[in-house]
Amino acid sequence: MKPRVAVFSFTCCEGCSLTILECENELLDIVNLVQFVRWREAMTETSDDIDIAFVDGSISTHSDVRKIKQIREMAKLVIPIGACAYNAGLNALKNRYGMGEVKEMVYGPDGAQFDTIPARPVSAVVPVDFALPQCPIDREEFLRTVRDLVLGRTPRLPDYPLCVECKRAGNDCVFWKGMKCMGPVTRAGCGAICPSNGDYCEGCRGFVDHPNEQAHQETLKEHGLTVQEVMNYFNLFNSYDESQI
Amino acid sequence: MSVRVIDQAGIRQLVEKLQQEAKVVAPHRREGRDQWAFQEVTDPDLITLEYTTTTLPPKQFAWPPRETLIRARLGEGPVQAEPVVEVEPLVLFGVHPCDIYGLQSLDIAYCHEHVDPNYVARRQQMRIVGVDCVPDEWCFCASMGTASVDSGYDLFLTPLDGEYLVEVGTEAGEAMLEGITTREPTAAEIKEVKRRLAKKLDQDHKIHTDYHNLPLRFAGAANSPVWEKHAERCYSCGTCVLTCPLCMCFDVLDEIKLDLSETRRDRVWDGCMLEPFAEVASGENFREERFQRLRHRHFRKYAYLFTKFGRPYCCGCGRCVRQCLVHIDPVEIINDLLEEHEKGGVTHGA
Repeated sequence: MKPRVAVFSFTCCEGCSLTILECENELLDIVNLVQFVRWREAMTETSDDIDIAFVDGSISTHSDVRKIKQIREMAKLVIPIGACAYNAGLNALKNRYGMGEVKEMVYGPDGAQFDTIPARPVSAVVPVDFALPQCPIDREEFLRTVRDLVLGRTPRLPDYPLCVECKRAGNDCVFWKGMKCMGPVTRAGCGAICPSNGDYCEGCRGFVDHPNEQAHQETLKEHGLTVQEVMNYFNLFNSYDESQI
Repeated sequence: MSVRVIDQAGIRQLVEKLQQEAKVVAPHRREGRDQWAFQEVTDPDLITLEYTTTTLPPKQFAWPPRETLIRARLGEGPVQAEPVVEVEPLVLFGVHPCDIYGLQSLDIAYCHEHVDPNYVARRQQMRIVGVDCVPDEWCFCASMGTASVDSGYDLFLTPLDGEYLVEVGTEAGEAMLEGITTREPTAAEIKEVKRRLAKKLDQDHKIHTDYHNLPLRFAGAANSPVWEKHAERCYSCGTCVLTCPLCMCFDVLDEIKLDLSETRRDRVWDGCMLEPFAEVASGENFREERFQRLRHRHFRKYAYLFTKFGRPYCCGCGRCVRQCLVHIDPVEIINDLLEEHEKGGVTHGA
């Protein structure tokens, strides 16, 4: 019996779901390993009999809270995918404002009718079994995860900073090019895709388990950032704070 | 072995000749702060022979950041595993003495007891043209005895005024020069090698002892507060180990293809400064704290491998501190330990 897989989306752009759909060369191999039974972006059929639920998006409405709890009841494994689901990502930026203010800012006077609560990662509402970070998810990491789950291996995320992958790729440090980078505190696993293509790391994979945040604040200041700018770098993808919920 | 003088046109002629026989990699200038990298030569005019250091050391050509060791077919019947050794003839053109020392030290380690077939196959296909350099503020080759080397190269170039003195180190080096326009050096030009070395040895960035004393000075230094002092700002990002010409640790990963038809066993660069490096299957981590990892790295370079192989496993190239965003400097660490020792603050039996 192939594992029955569902993909669910909450508050997000559904780019992580789309990343799965875009595994065009691998989709046939994937459907040899698993059976997709529910996935609104890809199919019309639906099912409540689910082994693995991949979930993208943050939980940001009361209805989201109810739905993710139902999914947890239905599925044997719940695996958040992508920054929004993993650590609330960009969505958490709204949490520093009052919800009334946010609705007014985005929708004007009509905003009052919307149900919105501070954005949170899936793991803040239900227990999760594993999670894939990044905005959007890394295709290879997703494929390895599916393979590992089918083979009964425990998938793992790297727990070292992005600098490792920059060095393996032979990149020069982006700081030497005059840019600022979140790589030294960010979890590797994307293959340093942004620095390898002339950009800097924004930290979309979240931090390593024990980031040296103090050291990195000092580094960013040493490279000319103001305290506010340092906070902006830190907060873009990593501002989720339980105490704001 | 002979000593000749070659001019810029001769260098170009030499590189073009070598390109007929092998892939030639040489230092090229990169964007931004003074930074160079070994890259395949497309146009000999783009080579920079006068450079401070490259981001990655030449070890990447003997032991790549990721390589496949074994491939195996899966499915019906017994597993058929095939060793994989991907090698091509290579010339490293423009290697500094510290990096030559680095490669020789990896040779010792990779040929010790278990001979590593992939590493050895690459090294046996590799020829080296060394070049002398001018140290920058991070180099400390004078402290490590690596400011010059007398082996480990086929040819060695010392810059003269617009030309290079060429020392031939091997018969292969002699053959490289065949058909290349060179001339006899003058006595003054031969003396230039010694003059440059004397100047090179005058470095401000230096350890305050003869490096032969390091194993003794490290003995008993395990409980020193120096480790925590320097590790406080460490990211555990591994930049120092990955860019070190002598660091040689790797991880081995089994990657099964998604269609389950084949598996391959890869090794990737790893390093003791990374948090998961000393984590074992039960979840225990033998070096959980930053200072423990920093301490291990330095003990390994200046004590453990020194006593095992008879040479320090540091060539003083300074890549670790030059590329460290928080400026952790082995020279400062060693000097702090020496100072502590002078003050009698050593805890024995650690």
